Amino acid sequence: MIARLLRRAGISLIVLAGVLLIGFLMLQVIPADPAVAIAGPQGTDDEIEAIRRHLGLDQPILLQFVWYISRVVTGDMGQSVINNASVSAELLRAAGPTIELMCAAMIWAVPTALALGILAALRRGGIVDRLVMAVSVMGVSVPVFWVGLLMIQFAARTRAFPIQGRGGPLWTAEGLSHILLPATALGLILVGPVARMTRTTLSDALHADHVRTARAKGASELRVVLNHALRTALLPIITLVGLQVGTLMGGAVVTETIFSWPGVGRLAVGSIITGDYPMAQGAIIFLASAFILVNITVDVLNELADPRIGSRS
Amino acid sequence: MKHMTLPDSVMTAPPLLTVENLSVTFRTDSGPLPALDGISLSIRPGETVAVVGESGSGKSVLSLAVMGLLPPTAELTASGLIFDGEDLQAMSKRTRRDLRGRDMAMIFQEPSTALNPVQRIGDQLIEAIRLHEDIPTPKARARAIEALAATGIPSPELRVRAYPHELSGGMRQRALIAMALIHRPRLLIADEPTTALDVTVQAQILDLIRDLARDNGTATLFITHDMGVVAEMADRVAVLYAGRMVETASASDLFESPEHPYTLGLLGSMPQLNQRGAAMLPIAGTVPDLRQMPPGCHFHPRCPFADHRCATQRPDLRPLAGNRRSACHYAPLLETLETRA
Amino acid sequence: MTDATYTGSGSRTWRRLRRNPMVTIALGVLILIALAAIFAPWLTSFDPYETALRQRLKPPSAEHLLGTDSQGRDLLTRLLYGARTTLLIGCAGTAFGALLGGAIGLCAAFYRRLDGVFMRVIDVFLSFPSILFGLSLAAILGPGLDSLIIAVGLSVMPGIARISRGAALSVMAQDYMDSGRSIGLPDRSLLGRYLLANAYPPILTYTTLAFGDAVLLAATLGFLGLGLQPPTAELGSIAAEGRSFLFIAPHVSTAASILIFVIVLSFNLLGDALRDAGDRRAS
Repeated sequence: MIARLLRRAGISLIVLAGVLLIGFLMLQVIPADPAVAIAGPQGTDDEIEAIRRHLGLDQPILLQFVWYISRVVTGDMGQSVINNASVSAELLRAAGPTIELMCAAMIWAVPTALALGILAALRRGGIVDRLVMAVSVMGVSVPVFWVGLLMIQFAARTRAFPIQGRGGPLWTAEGLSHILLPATALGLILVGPVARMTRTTLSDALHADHVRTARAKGASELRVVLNHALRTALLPIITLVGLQVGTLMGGAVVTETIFSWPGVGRLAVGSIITGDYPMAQGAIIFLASAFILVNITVDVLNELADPRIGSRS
Repeated sequence: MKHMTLPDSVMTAPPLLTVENLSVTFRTDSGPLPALDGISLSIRPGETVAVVGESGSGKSVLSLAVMGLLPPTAELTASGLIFDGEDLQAMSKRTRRDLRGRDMAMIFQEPSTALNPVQRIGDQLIEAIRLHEDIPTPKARARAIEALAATGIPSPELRVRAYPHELSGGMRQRALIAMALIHRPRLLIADEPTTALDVTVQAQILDLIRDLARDNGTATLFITHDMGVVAEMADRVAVLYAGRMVETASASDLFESPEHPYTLGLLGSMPQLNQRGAAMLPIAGTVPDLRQMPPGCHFHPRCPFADHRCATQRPDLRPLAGNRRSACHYAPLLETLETRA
Repeated sequence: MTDATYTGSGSRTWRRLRRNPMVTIALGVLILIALAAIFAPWLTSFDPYETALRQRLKPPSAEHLLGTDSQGRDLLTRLLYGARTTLLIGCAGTAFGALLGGAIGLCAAFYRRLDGVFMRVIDVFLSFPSILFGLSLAAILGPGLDSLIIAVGLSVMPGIARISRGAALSVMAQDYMDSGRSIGLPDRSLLGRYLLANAYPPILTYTTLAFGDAVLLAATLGFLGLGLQPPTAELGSIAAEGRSFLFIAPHVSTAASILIFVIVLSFNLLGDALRDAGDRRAS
């Protein structure tokens, strides 16, 4: 089992290195020379050359990459070319709201989706089942930004909820009312796919031999569903939900932009559009690493939780 | 053979299970699929009845119908489905459920998938115990260990903590047998319990089922396609073909003189009997598509004795001498063969 | 989605599909939109780029069926041209992804030693947020057509790679692969004339269906401002332009969003129907 985990971690490390390489290349191919940018419009050629030496830009590119990695690992991702703020500090400030938004979305969406999926699996072809299938195909087809825009229109008309920005910590009424719309919009992306996966996995589990054994023992239908079918289906479902973090993250980028939520996604989009390359590569590396970390975590949890996997290696 | 040792009281006792004119049809996308057609069968307490047939003959459907475990797409009709004097069809779901696992239990074909993969063996046994008996968990655990020990599982006190994948196929089947027999049910349905096991383990499991059933006074409905297993286990035999019963007789009579060509064929594919000099009679062809049954006798396309009458007229299951029945126009076969010759 | 079996164009599958009214509707809608996008210049007398500031943000009327946008341009015309651009990006991106993914999948099946590594990486790619591809490419190449197409291609690539590998593996199990090898054909002909020629139907089917996701991604990136820049008509950026006037003229964003939704939904409905038909055939 440990060997399997290590192999998986190894692959993830390779991917992470790839992400860093892309981040590094991002800074290499940028149209503006960072030294010129730092020197400012009044900078003389000598000054630019000095900054260039100072930044190590005259060194071989491989060496620069190694330096770059060591800097990123120590948390130094450079400064914004727009306002000179430290990229790491900005990212740390934006990470909280993003995590907050994603958690708020999952907290309502995952249980809702599980419940819908279970109901659909129990009554295949019933009303809930049809509803889940319809909602899920619409959910993966609808542009997230449209959902956001519709909510903003609705909220503006009813003046019920704030539509821009973050209102402070979640335990305040102000904070809660601000997160309500973005969290709803973001969660909606998850409901369809997760409900659908729950439905499929659970209906397979309901036809499993051991579920029939449980019925033959005289277990009640509720017990059969909860203790036997759902219990075996839960692990694959959790794994699949874990893998939806990618979808959620993509949705967060759009949601944050629409609702002016001060998170990493909005930071990434904003910095790309304004040409703030250090900030853009920082945000992208941050999002990609977070995604990879979550995936490894899901893998590890899955390995630990499933008694069957242990013996396989 | 075992039937010789059955006491007379068994032969005269009222039946434990009576199935009368049972039909099961599945609703499918491509129309209704008749799986069982007019099956009648009874089992007396302590008796072992084997239901024999190829796959697709409906023998597993029969076991699920008796257990009340048919999927919702199945439609069941029967003029009688009586267990221990009570009408199973008229029973509430709740009462029927209370019967399952306590008064009638089942062992399945695939021990590797029939156990819950993410639950320890002990917990699955404890669940089975506590579903029908209100005793505290530690006591149930002790019972579980006892029951595992009775099936010959070595160091059962360790095995209760194991997950199914940590046991061998034979041990899993032993655990399933322990689970099925834990409440000393009056009826045990064993659906091909040895098919998925190694040949060496098969005999041990058969012995185990027979011994435990005898000790508990349990009647056994034994579903199999293997005539060797039938010879080993059964007092009486019912042969199914394409959803219908084609012959039923005591095991000794059946092996002595089969009265349906299909039974002859099944015996022909049993290696031990060939050595006795019986003519090798392999069954040609395959079980027909249940949706497109041939007219007349369902077996006639594969039957070496079939003639025009078999192709047009459906034979009823009719009584023959010696408390046996056959659904062949030409039973008793021996007389027919002699007159034809 | 990941391990679905798209069984190509078995005639029974098609017969079952034709009986499904959803399929007819979705196909009809898609053909209609595609034709409208292709023949946009002949369908409308307005120019998609000529601004008329006095005509700004007019609601739908007899002259402008869907009203006008913030620059006074006819919205229906903008949408037709926008659909043109968006569908083109979808096509180019999907084609790029199909070539890349198909090559990876076939090679993974053919050179078994590569399989493990290839598929592990593909697995990571598969769940990777596709918007991150868009963000990265927009950051490296700058927002624009190239980065859009590459990002869309990268996002559809992993799915196609898996399907191709699956299809190729089943072809590899066929006898003619061995006989091809035994007569000493070089890998190149084995891969092309044997493997690809026999494995392509499911790959093609899946590729067509990946088109819905491709369009959605392209439009989303366009909305975020990471795609084509104004005044180019593109559905996502039309929706983004309308965002500034959401409260006085919601029809701009809404119309563009609905059009995107309808296109993507039609593709996904087709995909579901095809998968169901394939599933039922398999069982």
